Amino acid sequence: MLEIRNLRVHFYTRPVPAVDGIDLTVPDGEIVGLVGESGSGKTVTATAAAGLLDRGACEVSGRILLNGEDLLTLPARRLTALRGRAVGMVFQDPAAALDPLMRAGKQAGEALALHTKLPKSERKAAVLQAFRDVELPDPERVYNAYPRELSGGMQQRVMIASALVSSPSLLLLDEPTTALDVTVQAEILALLKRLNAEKGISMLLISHDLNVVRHVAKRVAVMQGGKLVETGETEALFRAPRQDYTKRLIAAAPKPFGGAAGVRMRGDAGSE
Amino acid sequence: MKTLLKKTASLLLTLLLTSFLVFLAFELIDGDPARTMLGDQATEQRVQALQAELGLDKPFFTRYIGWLGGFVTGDFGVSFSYRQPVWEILAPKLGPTAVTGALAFLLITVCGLPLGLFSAHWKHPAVLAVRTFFEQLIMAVPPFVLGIGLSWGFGVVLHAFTPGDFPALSEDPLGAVRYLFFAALALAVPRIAMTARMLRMSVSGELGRDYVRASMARGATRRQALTRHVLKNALPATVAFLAQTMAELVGSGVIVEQVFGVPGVGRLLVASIGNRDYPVVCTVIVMLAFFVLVSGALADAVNLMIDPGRRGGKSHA
Repeated sequence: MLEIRNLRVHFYTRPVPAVDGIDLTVPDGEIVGLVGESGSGKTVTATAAAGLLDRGACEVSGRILLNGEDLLTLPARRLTALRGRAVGMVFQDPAAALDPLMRAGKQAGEALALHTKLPKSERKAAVLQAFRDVELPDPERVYNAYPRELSGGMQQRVMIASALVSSPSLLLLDEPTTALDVTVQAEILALLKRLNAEKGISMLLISHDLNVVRHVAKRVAVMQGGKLVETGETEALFRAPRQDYTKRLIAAAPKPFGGAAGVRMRGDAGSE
Repeated sequence: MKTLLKKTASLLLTLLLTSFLVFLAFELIDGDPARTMLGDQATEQRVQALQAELGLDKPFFTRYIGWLGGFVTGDFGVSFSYRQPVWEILAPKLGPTAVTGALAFLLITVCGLPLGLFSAHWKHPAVLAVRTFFEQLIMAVPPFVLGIGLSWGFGVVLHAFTPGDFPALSEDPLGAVRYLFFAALALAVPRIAMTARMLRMSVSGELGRDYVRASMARGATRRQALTRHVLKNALPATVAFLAQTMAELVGSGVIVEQVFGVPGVGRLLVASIGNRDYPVVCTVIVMLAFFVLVSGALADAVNLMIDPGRRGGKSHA
């Protein structure tokens, strides 16, 4: 379970805090959506939850509790170990998030190589299993492929597999479908839903696109200017948004099944 | 295999073109080898006799084809001014030049690369300012100025070597290498700064990429992300830069040899241009061009090994 308590992140180079006192909980086995426009602090929140904030570049206060341990006070070594085992993170652009010079299989198994003493053969077996879990066709071929030899959708599946391989309890998904084609988007979202249902992995799904969140997340939090403006059950929030900002976000989002509009929206992506 | 064939063909074509241009340049510039050799006092008759002897009375293309035919069969011709086969003059000069270049290249890689990696971690503004100052200063100093400074400092003041008194490589190899070390230093120092700067920029560029964050999200420390991912990605640009450095060493080497009085290929080249001794000049230039082209091809091959996907033409950069 992830519990963020009164988190405040202020980068020294910016006049205002990127995240300004938010409280957010991702209960075990649930998918929580976090929506908001670019620059609203979504990605910084996820980066903090992954324990990846550059502490030399910002001032951080509050608490980020992952299964009871506060990431903000954990010594560096423990934090590193935690990152490799308990949390997985998936990024917006899989082509950029994969090292172009390392084979997909080796990258997907990196967490195991760094944090377990498993022999290479067992690591490979675990990676191949993760590849099957994310429905990658021909896992053996993908294992030996370089990222550029894979399609965008396959690259993102490799990224998800690389996060799953160490059986984390929490996945942080930062705009995981924004860089993908619409049809692939739907496939990836269905995959995330299935992984959540089958493995009980909790997820924090960040998106600027309400439709992405609507069909996957049970609860959703709306962020604006570093603050949470509204939180609630997804359907309830869609039916009766209380805040003006949420209303505007809903109004701005393309209608579900309005294919063309959906494609147009992808252009102004960009997570924080 | 096909790529190799294509590369070889383009290499040979470039060399052919180079030799032609050098030959053409001699046709265009002022000065006749025979007149240069005989001096101002020579009679027109003697000049014409010497021209006939050297084959200079024949048309341009006949001379070029003749030279080329000899060159490809391993006969580099006879030097006008020394009246000796070019190879006999050139061979003893190769050693000092090769040793100087190799020493300089060694210094550049051994000092420049670690310095670049090391200085990538510096963050303190004062340290950065000092770094920038020295970098700019060192890069701005031309090798011949540095060469004069080093000759004076190590030669005249510290007596680490005697400028102008080069011990023969075959008789006193250690003394010769010691002498050449200072010439190599003059060649290497500006390029050490450039290499360090280049590697640092390439590494810090790579460090900001998403795959570094992704690797850290999998539990890698910053250092692990650096060694596992960043170095390999920063390498192709560095290798290409080092190949370019090798090529530039050839050019600066000519000047540094003058300053240090090293009896190498560079000095031979400068003297031969003055004497309009084109059999020597053409041979030396084609050799240097060959070296430059081969170091470029070598860099390509190394980068292909690092990143086999390049073959497909699509680069990640």
